[in-house]
Formats: sequence, C-alpha cells, structure tokens
Amino acid sequence: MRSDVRELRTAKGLSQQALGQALGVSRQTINAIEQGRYDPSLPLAIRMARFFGKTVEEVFHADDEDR
Amino acid sequence: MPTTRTDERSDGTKDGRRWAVPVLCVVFAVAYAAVFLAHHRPALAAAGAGVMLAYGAVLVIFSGRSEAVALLRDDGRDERRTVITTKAAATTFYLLVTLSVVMLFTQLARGVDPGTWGVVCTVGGFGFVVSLIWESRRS
Repeated sequence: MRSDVRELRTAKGLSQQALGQALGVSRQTINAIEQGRYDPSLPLAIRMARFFGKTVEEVFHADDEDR
Repeated sequence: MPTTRTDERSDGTKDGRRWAVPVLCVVFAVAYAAVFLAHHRPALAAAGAGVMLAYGAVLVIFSGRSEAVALLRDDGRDERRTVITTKAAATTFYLLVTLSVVMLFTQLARGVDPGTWGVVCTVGGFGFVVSLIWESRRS
C-alpha cells in the first residue's frame, strides 16, 4: 500500500524518530510504512491520519488506486 | 524538548520489560555455572556462564543500533515488531516440526522406539490444535 506519510512528515519538519515517538512506534516501523514494506494496522493508520489532520483515505492509497 | 522519566517509553516498551531478556541471560549464566560446578566441571561452568553473559551484553550494547538485536532483546516493541516476532516464531515452529517428524519416522523405520521425538510430535501437534481453536474463538 502506498502512503503520503513521508511527504506529510517532512512537511511538518519531523524526523522518522520523532514521528515514531509521537505515534508510539519505532523509527524502523515509520521507515517501513514510508517504503511501502509494511501496512499499518487500522488503529495505527487512524492515529497517523489524525496526527496529520487528515483522513485515512487521504494518507493511505491502495496499490491499484490513482493518487 | 523536555523529557520526563516514566516507566513506559514512547514506543510503548516498559523499562522493566526491556531488561527482562538481559536479566534472563544472567539467570541462565548462573544456572549454567551452578549445574556444571555441581558436576565438578569448572571450565564448562565458566564457558557456559561467559557465553550467556556475553550474549546479554551484546543485547544491551547493540539494541539501540540494530533492529534485529532490539528484537532479540524485546526492546521497543510495536505492532510491526510483534508481527516480525510472530513470523519468526512460526518459521522456527515449522523447522522444529519438520525435524521432529523426520526423526520420528526415521526412528520408526529403524524399528526403534521414537521416545522423545514421539513425545515432541504429540505435544506439538496437540498444542497446535488447541492454539488454533483458542485463537479462532478469540479473533
């Protein structure tokens, strides 16, 4: 699954470590989500979306979905 | 940014929990030393305890630099690391099942009592079925 996490994070001027701390996950997990190697659980996806003030659909995109 | 010391880190790992595996290493080191010393084998006692203490030290020193080591230490658990640990445990389980079944049939083919391998296969199979039923009702 693709996501806009990297763009949203850098727009806020946050490091992966800082975002991980804010969301209660490791830096490596943030990196894996940004790389599309790991699909977060629904609770984590909702936490991430709320953190950026967006909906889950605005942050995460199915692979067959246009951006 | 000001920080306050709490018993839980931002990634959800409680301080006590992240020291559980290193403490277990020390306990194993003492157990190794006690068992071998009881059998009057001081060299093996020192080697066994030394290996466990060295392993514990590696976990403490390198868990901040390597995610694999952090996983071994159970440091910084989050949902992705839980998935990784579960997959690793499943892979290990399948390896042990394969070994146990191969050894069971090898012993049977040789006309020998399978002994421990039979017990391992029985307990493993029974445990797997019970776990499946339990988890299917929980999830």
